[in-house]
Amino acid sequence: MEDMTPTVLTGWSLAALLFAAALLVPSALRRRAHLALAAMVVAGAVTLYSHDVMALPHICAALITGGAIGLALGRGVPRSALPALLAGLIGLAGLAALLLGGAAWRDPHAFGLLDDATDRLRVDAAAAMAAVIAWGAMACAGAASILRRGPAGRGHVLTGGVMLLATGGLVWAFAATPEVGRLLACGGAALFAGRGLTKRAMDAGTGPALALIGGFSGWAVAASAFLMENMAMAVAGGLAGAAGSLFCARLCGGPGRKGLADAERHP
Amino acid sequence: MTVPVLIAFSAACVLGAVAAWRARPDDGWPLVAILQMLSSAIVIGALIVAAEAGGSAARTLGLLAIVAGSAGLCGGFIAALRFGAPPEP
Repeated sequence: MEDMTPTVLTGWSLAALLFAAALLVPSALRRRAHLALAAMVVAGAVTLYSHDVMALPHICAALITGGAIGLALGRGVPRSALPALLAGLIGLAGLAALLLGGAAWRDPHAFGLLDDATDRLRVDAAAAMAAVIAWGAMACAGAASILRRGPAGRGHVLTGGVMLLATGGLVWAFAATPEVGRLLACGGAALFAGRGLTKRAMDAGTGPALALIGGFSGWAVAASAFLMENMAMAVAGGLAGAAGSLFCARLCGGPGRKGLADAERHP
Repeated sequence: MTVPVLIAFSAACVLGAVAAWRARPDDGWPLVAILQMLSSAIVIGALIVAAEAGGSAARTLGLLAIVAGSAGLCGGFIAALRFGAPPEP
């Protein structure tokens, strides 16, 4: 956990303001994308400043490799395939959440997740870890459903709802008794839940489904923020989770769904 | 530390809900592109994991998460710029 020095607090506040501005300021998309990127750079710089970094060369190599992959993907696909690219990139964020949850499970001591008296996972840390795995799996499964574009049946919707309830129960069960089997079951149930709910959103179009999996991924970021006790991630995750989920609900249920819903005609 | 994080998260949820409520259906693609960039903030957590992990397995998972998150961030930024550009003739 980082120390809350005035420098760190200023950095987090600046990053939070930039994240909020990227979502709320009514300006051109290019300017909003620059604001979001600036927020991410500030948050990354404050994170590296406030932690004892033991593998800086490896981290730089991973950042550059990922950036090169993203650049190639963003430049390489035709303009008509940009919605599919967005789905794949949101799935990558979900995959990163799964990897992050796995790393926290493998080495909880390094992140201060253990109870000092009993040397077991704290209840709040276990709940956050299971939530990271669950939301990350839902984002991955949703992205895969959008990319495969199969037809949605009544069974998918029912399975999604039941599995969402099962995922919540398994998160609670893992928080009570942290065992790897319960964590895996939680991830598995979340995969089915994400698939079923995304299929339901795809009835209204690709756009609402993209907003939904963006919301899943945002909630995964927010759960990671509670796991790592990081304020910038809490702001970014809360913004993305709430905006994505509510926007999808509006487009799927409301009368004003025209525009985003007919995704095949855009961009 | 958890209470400030909880306060920041609650305020962000309210702001996110306001943004989604104010958005018109035609604002959908810009909103989805920005949502994708915001959800790439998972790379911040991946940085923490890779920086603080003691074991090699956890650090490898953290580095892979950085690669995935960084690819999502850069790809999403390029995609947002292309969405914002005027259509090619």
